[in-house]
Amino acid sequence: MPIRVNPELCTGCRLCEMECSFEHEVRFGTYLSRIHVDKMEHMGIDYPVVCQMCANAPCVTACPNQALSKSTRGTIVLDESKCTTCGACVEACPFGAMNLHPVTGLPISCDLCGGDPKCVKVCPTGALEIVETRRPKKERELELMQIAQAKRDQFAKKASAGLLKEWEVER
Amino acid sequence: MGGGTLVTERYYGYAGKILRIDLSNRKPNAEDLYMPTAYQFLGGRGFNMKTLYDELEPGIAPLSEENKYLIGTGMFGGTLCPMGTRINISTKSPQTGIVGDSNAGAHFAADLKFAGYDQVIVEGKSEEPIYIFIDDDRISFHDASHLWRKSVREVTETIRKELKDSSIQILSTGLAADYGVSFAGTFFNLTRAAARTGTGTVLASKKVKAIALRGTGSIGVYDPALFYKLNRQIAQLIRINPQYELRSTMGTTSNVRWLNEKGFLTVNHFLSGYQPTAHRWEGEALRDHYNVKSKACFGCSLHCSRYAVVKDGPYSMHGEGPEYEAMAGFASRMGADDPEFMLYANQVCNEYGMDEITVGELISWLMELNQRGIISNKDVDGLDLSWGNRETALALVEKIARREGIGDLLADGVKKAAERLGRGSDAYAMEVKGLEIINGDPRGMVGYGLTYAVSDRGADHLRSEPYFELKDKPAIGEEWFGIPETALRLEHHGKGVLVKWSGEWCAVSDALEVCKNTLVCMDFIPYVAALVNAATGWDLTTEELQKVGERIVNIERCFNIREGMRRPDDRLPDRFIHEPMECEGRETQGNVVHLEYMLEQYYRARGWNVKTAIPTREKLLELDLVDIADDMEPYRHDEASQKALDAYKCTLSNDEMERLKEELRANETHKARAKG
Repeated sequence: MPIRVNPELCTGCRLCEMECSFEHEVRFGTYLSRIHVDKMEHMGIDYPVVCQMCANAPCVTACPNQALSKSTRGTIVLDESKCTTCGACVEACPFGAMNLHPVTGLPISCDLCGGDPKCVKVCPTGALEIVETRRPKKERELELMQIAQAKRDQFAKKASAGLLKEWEVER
Repeated sequence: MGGGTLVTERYYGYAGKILRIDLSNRKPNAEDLYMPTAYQFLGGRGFNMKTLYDELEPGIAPLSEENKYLIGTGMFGGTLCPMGTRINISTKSPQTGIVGDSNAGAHFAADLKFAGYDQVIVEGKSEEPIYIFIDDDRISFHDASHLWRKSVREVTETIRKELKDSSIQILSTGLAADYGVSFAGTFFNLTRAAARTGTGTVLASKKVKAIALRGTGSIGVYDPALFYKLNRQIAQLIRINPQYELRSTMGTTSNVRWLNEKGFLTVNHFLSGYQPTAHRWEGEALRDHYNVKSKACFGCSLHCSRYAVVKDGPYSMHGEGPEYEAMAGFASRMGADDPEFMLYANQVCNEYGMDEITVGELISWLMELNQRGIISNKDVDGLDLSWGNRETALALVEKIARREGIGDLLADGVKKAAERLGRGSDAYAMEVKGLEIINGDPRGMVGYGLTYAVSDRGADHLRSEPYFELKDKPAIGEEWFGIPETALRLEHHGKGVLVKWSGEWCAVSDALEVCKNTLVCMDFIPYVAALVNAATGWDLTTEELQKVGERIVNIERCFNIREGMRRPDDRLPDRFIHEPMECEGRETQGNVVHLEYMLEQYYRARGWNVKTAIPTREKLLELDLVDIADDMEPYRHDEASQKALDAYKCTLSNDEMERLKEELRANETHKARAKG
């Protein structure tokens, strides 16, 4: 689930960049940030661009050495030992959300701060949001949910049988 | 390793280098930041003023190659400090001949520090029009002949295309600078301006059209955890401040309604303080009908700027701004009340690259002269100078920007225009030291009047924004200064003390490059020292910080003393002193500014010579400005000083003199008690 952007609320202040840079590097720099506010002054548009966590991520596919993979959370994970810093992932990303670290040269992109993205917290206007994405359930999944719920009922009833008896005695 | 400039860790908060670009031989040179200077002057305006004093010979011509163009950043620039990434542009002003200095928000300072520089000094002169590209430690010079006499927008967009990176920060000048208009400003990415005192004119005189910038490095601080925590706390305090709501939705545009209600809005060139139709163009009207979104400077959580759209009609536009000063200049000051015209005119001025306060004064000055019969339409290329004529105003903007017709007479500011025009028109020129007065009538806030008079860059409120006097709570005046009247805007008592104090904190603001809307107006002074120490690892107290502010005010004054300024130059136009305010039925009605009382107190509070306004030797030594104390000696008895001494005549009564001294003593006692 990528960070969702509400461009009409973004003031273009770049606090998210500074927060991101600090969270990951304990220093402040635009090029150390995993999020970049695209500022188009002539149109008044400010748009924070960050990894979209694509289902079939072009960056992962493009990597000639299979150094990139997707985590269960959807973020792009780098295996440093395989990376040759060739930049194929940067070229492949359709959003410009993949960049090379200015010091190490390794690709960097949003890791959701391990599930608690700091840019979302610092944004003064709520232009950044973390939202849960839901997909439609398959029939089999629904069936399994119902089965599991029935089993929980069964188990809880059995396990609390003693408690029911105790109450009857107390009254 | 990447292309970034790696920053040496011994410079916490600072980038660590000063970039000196000599245009005559096109040799850039990065010098190490000298830490004792950082400690004494903090950065930003502090660095710039120190450089101006040290490196400019007295008496040089502002448009000669001996003048320098300085860009200063602060120690919080390019961090997550909210509102801490402003920028100062300083030079010797071609408009006033004294300290030229202007401060802006924007993003340039952040990226300049990421590129590795705390200050840039541009010196010498190029033979051909060029633009400079600072790409981390690679500095290149590019032909700009195709950009000459082009607008800020064209320059910004063209350079970004040429350098193939739309995120590059652009500092540029508009076409007015290239035509030699004396009050052309420095602009940043279309939307932010260091507009006052003609800094853009100086850059253009060096044949530099723009400075492009990319910074890929980074900034570290001494105590990251503490620095982070303090900034989060400050962000929270901003959020819960009572001013947050107004500033975050309207910024300074909310001033219109308030000033008008109280009766000291600038109406018809200060002839009145109330405009019945101001509701048409006030901040609330913009908010409800034209603003589409909020905009912020780098790192700021207060976002006091707006992006506005006028969909159709003769004044259709879309763009950022204006803030209060630009609004009032194209509305009440010139007797107009059309919000769409105002938004459009602001846009045009920004594209051409001119100081809108000056432009607003020139237009409204002509209109008053016309009303008085001093000039007629024959003097101004046939333009109709009735109050509020929008077409005339736009025509004048065009003429001024290109020095065409009457525009040539106007293009050096109202003081020189009045000198050229003669006919007693100087009596109506609203300027101090050659810089035009803002859209706040000092008869409604007398402490601001003192600020306009003593400001070392000429008439200006931001040099010592005495926002405190607007609090309207005598108990707070007593609590902060030991003088209740300091918190009352129509009272003259204690204002010398107040303006000294606020002037020093405004200087600290500019040296740290923190926005005054928060540091001074939202009372953040008690938090600043801790933040400075967390960033740098120093151990400064609030008192020591204020002393830095005092040092900066004094070095600026000494710069101006060398240029011949003395006490008679700390003045206000007669209107504010002799003509009672006209705003029937409002509390400001009939008020005048008693400047002399405030001035006498101010010089005493400052430790300056009351008759010449030169800082005393004792004061300069107290501020560790030993060399400057020696420099000042010959000026104490020179021709200008002798003139000031001869002209000095104190008209205060003995009672008044006793009272102002009593206030100074009350403040001293109060300070001693607060310390103890």
